[in-house]
Amino acid sequence: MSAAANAAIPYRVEQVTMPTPVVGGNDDEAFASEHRFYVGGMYDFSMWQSYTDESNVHVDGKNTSSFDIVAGVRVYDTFRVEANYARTVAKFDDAKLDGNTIFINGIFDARIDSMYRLFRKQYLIPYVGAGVGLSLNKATNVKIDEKTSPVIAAMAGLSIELGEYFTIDAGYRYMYMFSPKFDGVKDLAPTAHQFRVGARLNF
Amino acid sequence: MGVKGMKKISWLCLGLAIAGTPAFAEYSDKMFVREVSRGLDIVGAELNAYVVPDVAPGELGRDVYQSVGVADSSDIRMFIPTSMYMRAGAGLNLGFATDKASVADEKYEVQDSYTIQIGLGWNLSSYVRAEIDTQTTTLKFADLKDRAANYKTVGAMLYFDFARRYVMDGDITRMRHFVPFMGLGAALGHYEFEGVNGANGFVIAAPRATLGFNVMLTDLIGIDVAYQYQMMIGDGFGWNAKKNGVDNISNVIASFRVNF
Repeated sequence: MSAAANAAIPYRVEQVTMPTPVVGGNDDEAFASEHRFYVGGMYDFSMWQSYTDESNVHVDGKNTSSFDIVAGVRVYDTFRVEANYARTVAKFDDAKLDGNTIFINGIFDARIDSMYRLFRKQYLIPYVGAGVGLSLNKATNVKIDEKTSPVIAAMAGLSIELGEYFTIDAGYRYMYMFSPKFDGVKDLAPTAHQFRVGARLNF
Repeated sequence: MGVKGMKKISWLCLGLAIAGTPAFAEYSDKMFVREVSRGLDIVGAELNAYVVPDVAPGELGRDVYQSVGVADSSDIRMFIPTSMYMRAGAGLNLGFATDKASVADEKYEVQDSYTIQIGLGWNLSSYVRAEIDTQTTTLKFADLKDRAANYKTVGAMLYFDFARRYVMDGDITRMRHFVPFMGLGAALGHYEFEGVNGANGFVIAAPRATLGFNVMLTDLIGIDVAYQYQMMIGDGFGWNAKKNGVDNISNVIASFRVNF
């Protein structure tokens, strides 16, 4: 058969493209679209770490209680950014450091995507995150050279969603404050293992 | 039957038609999920008529009704590969497999020491993963009360699973619930042996290597148990310690790995 015969047959070739479904958890029905913002509060139990400096001056870190307030925006279902005010209360022996601390936290939520959402409900959402910020400090029973110290944090936890508006949060945060230069223990950079429990309202 | 009787029947039909009409209320997620998971034909049939799934008589009937209820059977589970995961866990230091800290010429074994790990990873393929993590390590030493050292590092790792975590096989994706793995990477950060003449400063963990296994509890959540070796390149390991050389630190770390 001659190949030229084909030319007489009218035909058309079209590339058919399938619409790619948005499964990134950012579609109209994504949690992040329906509840873009949230506010919350947390109770913090902080275990401040002991420290021995270069001159063998030893300070014992104590356990303290304080609180956090957060206000956040969900960029995607799996990522949110929050402003976090933390009341920092650090105790070492008799010395006390009170701080007004502001963090900006970036947090990844293990929220399963929309393909899974068809088949499952998710009440438990683990998260990990990191934060940077500043702490404005006031000291009692000790002098500090730096009233303002940078702070960094790494955190992980579990959110429990009771319906779409209310979330309970239990988590851990490792907090590191750059040294406020305590009189006598200049190198002491307050660090704490913090256990946090709180709630968030999504709106 | 007279005109009156027909009238009754037509009222009845209208009533049935209204009762049987599916509600065109606002869009419902729940309904959509049901339609997908049960099958639109089954859901539609149930809405439009009072169908009671019943075993039809005979071999042919068995064939016809074989699919009733299959779509939402609990035997069938669905696995969709995930793109990312997060990790949170803690590790115990293996004193016997960690270098002893030195105070001048004396050596002290690491004891009661721990690590906290938080990580974020990417499932690059069914058997390769990449991860960044933070580890904070507190080291304590036998016969050295009130002395401690701490490491804070940020690491990057590449993990290789020894078996594919999931295998796509036609319409069915099979998933493994036990997967051994190895990982290789490096970390950097800051460390400090607290006290007079303690070694401190910038530290590099290179290589950082892990060997472990993963047990999946569900399709998404699993537990990793791994041995982690780190060769620390720093400025000594102890107090009045030699400034050169490398120091070996071994941990066993258990962590939750949550895919999303």
